[in-house]
Amino acid sequence: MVDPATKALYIVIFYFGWWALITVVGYLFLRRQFRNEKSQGN
Amino acid sequence: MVWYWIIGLMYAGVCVYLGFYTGKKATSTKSYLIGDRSFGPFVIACTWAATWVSASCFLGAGGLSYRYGWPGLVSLVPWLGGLVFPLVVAGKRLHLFTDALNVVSIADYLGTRVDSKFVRSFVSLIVIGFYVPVIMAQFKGAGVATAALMNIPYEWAVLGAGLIIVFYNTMGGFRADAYSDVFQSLVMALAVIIAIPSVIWALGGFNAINLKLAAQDPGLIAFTEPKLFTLENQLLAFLFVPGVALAGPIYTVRFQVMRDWRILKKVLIYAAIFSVLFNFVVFMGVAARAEYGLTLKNADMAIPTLVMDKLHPILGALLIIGILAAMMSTTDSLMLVVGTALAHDILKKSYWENIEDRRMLMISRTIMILIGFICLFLAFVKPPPFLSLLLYFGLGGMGASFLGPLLLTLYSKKITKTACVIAIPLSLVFYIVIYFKQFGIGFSVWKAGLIGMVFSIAVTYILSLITKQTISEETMKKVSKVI
Repeated sequence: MVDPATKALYIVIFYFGWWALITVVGYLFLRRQFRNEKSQGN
Repeated sequence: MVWYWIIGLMYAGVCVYLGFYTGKKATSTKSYLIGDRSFGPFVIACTWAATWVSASCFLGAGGLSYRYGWPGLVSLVPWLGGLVFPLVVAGKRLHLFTDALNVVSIADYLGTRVDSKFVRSFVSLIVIGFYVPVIMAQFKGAGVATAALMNIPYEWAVLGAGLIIVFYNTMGGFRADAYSDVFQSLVMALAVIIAIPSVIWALGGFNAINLKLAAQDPGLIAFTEPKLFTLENQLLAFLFVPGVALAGPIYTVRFQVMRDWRILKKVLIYAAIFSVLFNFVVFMGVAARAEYGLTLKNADMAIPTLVMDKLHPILGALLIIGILAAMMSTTDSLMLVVGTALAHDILKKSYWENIEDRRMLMISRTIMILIGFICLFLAFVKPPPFLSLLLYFGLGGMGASFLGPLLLTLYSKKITKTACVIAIPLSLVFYIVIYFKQFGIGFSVWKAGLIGMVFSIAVTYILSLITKQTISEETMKKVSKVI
C-alpha cells in the first residue's frame, strides 16, 4: 500500500514528466523542419 | 488589505502605461491588429503561454481541483500537449502563408486561401459567437479575483478590471496585448514560484497536506475520479486539447505575428517553462481542499481564500494579481481576435475594401470598445457557475467548425473551395446537435468536440475528393510558394 504523499508525488512526477517529454518531442520535430529547410537551400 | 491595494494599483498602473505606450506605436490598421509582425521569441512565448492559461485555469480549474483533488491537476496534463502541438504542426506553415497571402487572422487566412468571402465571414461569425461568452466568463474571473483582492463588491471589481483591459486593448491593439502578456507572464511566474512553496510550508508540508486529503477521501489522491475526470475523459482530453489549440484563433494568430518562423524552437522552450509553472497553480486548489474540506460555498474562491488566509499579504496580493493577470492576458487576446474578426475580416474585407486606413483604424478601435462594453454588461447579468466548462464548449465548437479546413489547407493543394464552404457550416451544426441532443449516449464537451473535429477533417477531405478545384490561379500561385 503506497502512502498518500508518495502517491501524490507520482502524480506530480507524471505532470512534470509529461511536460518534459512533450517539449523534447516538439523540439525534435521543429529541429527537423529547420534542417529540412536548410538542406533544400531556402 | 493595504498591501493588496498597493500591489493591485501598481499592476493597474503598469497596464495603463502599456496602453499609452503602445497606443503611440499603433499608427496603421496592420500595426494595430498584428503589431507589424515584429515580435521575437520571448514575446511570442509569453503571449502564447499567457493566453493559453486563463482565469479559467487559475479559478475554474482551481475550483475543480478543490472539489475533486489531485485528478484536477492531472486534467491539465493534456493542456501541455495542446501548447506544443500547434507550434509543431502549424507554426511554420501558417507564418509562411500569412506572408504569401498577406492576411491578418485565421478567418482571413481561410477565406483568402480558398478564395471565399463566405468562408471568411462565416468563420469570423463563429469566432465572435463562441468567444463572446468566453470573454464574459473571463470578466467574471476578473470580478472574483479583484473582489477578493480589494475587498470590494463583485460588480465594481468587474468594472475596474474590465475597463483597464478595454483601455489598453483599444489604445495599442495587438502590441498592447503582446507587451501586457509579457508583463502578466512574469507576474504569474513569480507568483507561482513564491506562493506554492509558501503554501506547502504554511500547511505543514507536502506529507501533511496529503494525509489530510486521504483522511477526507482517498479518492482525492488519484489520477482519475468517477464523475468528471474519468479515465475516458482524461484520455479524450489528450486528443481534444491539441485539436482545439490548433483551431483556436487566439493561439494560432501568434504564428502570424512572429517575425520569423525560425524562432519557433526558442518559443517552444520558453512557452513550455511558463505554462508548466502557470498550470501548477491548480495545486493550490488541492491544498485548499486539504485545509478546509468541503466547507467553502464557492469552489471558485478556494484559491483566493487560501491565499488570503495563509500567506503573508505581499505574497497573497502577488498571487491574486497573478490570477488577475491570467484572466487579463486571455481576455485581451480574445477581445482583439473578436475585434479583428468584426472590423477587418467582415467589414473591411467584405464591404469596405477601399476604406482609408486612418478611418479603418478608428473603426477598429471603436469596435474594440463596443465589444468590451457588451461583454462587461453580460458579465453583470448572469455569470456562469463553473468557468472551465463554458470555455470548453466554445473551444470545442471552434475546433469542430474549422479544424479540418485549417489543417488540411496548410498541407494540401487539393482541398477545394466547395469542400470548405460546405464543411464549415455542416461541422458546426453537427457539433451543436450531438452536444445538445446527446442521443442517449451522453456526449461530454470533450467527446462532442473531438467527434466534431474528426468529422470536420473527414468531411473536408472527402468533399475535396469529389468536388472540382475552383480556387483562382492567382491564389494557387501564392499557395505554391509555401506547399
